[in-house]
Amino acid sequence: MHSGRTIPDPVGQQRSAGRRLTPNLLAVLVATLLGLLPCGIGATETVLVSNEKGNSISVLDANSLTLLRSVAVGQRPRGILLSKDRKYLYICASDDNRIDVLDLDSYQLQSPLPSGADPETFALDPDGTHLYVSNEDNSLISIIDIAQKRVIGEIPVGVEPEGMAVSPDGRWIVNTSETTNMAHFIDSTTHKLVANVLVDSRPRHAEWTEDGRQVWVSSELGGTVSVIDADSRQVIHKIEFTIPGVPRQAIQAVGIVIGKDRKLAFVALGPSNRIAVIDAQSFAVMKYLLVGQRVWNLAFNHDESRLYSTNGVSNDISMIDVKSLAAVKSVPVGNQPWGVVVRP
Amino acid sequence: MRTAWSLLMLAILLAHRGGAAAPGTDPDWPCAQPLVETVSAAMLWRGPPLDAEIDWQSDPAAATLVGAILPREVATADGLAAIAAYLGQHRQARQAAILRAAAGLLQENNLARAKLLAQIKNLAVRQRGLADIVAALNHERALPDRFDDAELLERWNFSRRSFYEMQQTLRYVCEIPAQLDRRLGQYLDALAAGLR
Repeated sequence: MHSGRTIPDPVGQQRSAGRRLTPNLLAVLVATLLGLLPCGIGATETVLVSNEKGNSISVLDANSLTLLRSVAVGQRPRGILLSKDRKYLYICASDDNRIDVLDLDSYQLQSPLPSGADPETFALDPDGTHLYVSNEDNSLISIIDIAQKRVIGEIPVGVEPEGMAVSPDGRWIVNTSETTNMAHFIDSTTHKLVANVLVDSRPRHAEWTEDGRQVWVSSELGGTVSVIDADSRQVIHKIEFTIPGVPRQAIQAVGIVIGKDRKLAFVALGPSNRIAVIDAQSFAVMKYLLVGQRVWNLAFNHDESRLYSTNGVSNDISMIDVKSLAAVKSVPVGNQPWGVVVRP
Repeated sequence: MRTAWSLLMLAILLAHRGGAAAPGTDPDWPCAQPLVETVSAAMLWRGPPLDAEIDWQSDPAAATLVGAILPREVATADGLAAIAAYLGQHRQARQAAILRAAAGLLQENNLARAKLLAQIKNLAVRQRGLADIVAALNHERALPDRFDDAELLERWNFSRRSFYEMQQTLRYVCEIPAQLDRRLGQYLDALAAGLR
């Protein structure tokens, strides 16, 4: 699967320039230049994609979108997250009822974490020690202690819990429940439910703004995004989408990313095959970008200059240049790509 | 806290009353993927606007292409090869030929798709009927002296087996619209590439 291609990286070159070339470092450099190492010095960021029906993780070079490798993981991998130190990828292996842990240096699976039944998505607390997992089949959130590899608590929520997000300060957990049509606010210290906010039908994804003042919740069947004020827990705005020539049924809001400076946000719109570009201050829709089929989840790279989308029907991912707001390229990955993260 | 819990429980009860369908869904649609009844040009087409009035059926080459590559059993690779051959035959007036083929594919695909969606909904109705039969037989078997009734047990087993077989069938057929959409997307991308 290795493409044999190494992309020059100015950052990596600078980093290596001041070092004395030990025999080991020299060997790594030579191997990298020869294209023998997929992620050696000089390599760029990598895009990691879970393939729901392929039962695999695709690893791609974030610049060229060259497929570097494909790693077999548990059944029906959906939500994926990087560990705080970015050395591991946590993977919701939904049909195996566990969280797979993939070492991103060796690409070997480590011993898995428990998850509760049918884990679909999860969130990592800011100190990187606990995972909050939505268990779709039994209306629970499982709290996983990563170091102890055990479930240390369960929080009952609405029917078919789905989206999970922890506030930047770690104080609040937000979970969405698909059938109850709510965003549940949970105190992360007491694990008690403190508020329920009604949103449109089948809420899928929750995303905090970097300043912790808002939570954005997408509704798949409603085709909207509800912007919730985190203090008052009221919906302060509902973003609606109209795409000329596209049936209303096909506009299904799913993945959301919001820029750290809260200037721009992007919303994946499912089978409309569009990503909406939003002015994150005024909530106005600025543009729709045509990407692959059934665009599902989104991820920025580390400096937010590029955005990546998984396209579940066309079995590919698309790369968007954020400055020009243009879809640059799509490349095939595995069967039914679902989650995406970028490892710096 | 108590209020939050009470509201949550109320919402859960309301969500489940009488098996009501969520807004925007068809109660007969059995698939996890939300129903999308038609695929429009704007959802897939990356070329110039496709006029709804394009007469593709009067062009024998376009009509032949559409008829040859849209049946469900045609492999994507074979359909793409046929599109490549069609493009090869239309080096003159190429854009008009491509637009005719694209319009024909979209129109015929939606007709075939509508039939498929109706078949899936019919299967869902039959599945509900089987569920009712199994429930009635469950009830009958719970009556005094009926649990060991061999004829009743045979009917119960047969109905349950039919129910689970239908469940498997539904799981399979629910994947077909996405498979057709994927192939249509590849066909239209191949035609649009012919414009560049």
